[in-house]
Amino acid sequence: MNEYKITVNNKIENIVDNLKSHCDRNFYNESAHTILHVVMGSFSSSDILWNVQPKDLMKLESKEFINLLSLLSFLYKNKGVTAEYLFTTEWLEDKLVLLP
Amino acid sequence: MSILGIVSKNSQLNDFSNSIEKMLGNNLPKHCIEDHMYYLKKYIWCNFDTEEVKVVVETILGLDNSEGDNIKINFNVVMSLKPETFNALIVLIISCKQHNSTNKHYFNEESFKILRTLRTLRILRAMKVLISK
Repeated sequence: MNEYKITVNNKIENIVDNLKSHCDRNFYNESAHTILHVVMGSFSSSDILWNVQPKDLMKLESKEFINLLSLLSFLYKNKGVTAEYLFTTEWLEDKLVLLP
Repeated sequence: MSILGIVSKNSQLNDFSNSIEKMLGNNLPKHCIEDHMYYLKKYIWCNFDTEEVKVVVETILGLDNSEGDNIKINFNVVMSLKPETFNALIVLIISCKQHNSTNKHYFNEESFKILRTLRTLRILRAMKVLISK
């Protein structure tokens, strides 16, 4: 964990904060569901539950689209860091129990 | 370094060092898109029978509004692609978003037909309707 704290820089923290804040404010919107599905899918070993329609990414607002792809790029380059760690298990669990 | 800052073995893909934010802020250079799409097409045709290609084909078809209704992908599989393929797929998604267009911009109707056929064959094989020798 400490190692991750050193690796994870401010930029990715901002990206994650922005995505979390968007999901908090727009929880019942499709865009929040798409973001949550991508985030969960990125570390949930091919679980069909978190599959996403690629065209749903096109429906995201520019800011969320940029943040989400930046997050994916970061996770790809930093295989030791998971989206679960960045978003925290508690926050994800809070959201996932309410997902329709 | 490639477009996402990942070291690529393919020298054609090595010219780009923009970050995603930069890429999204400006239109992607045409040659950048063309190089990645060329790679993607070649990759599909050379590896069409592998599991790794499945997510690539599903993404391409899934980005299209008319055809993508029931096509879903898992990002865990996308994250396991090799760097060149991951880069090319991300470039495709970004360029579709930037141009507010479908991927038919990059894959013509004939390519689409082939991709759809490949997908159907894969599904039939998974359902044991077709048996591979």
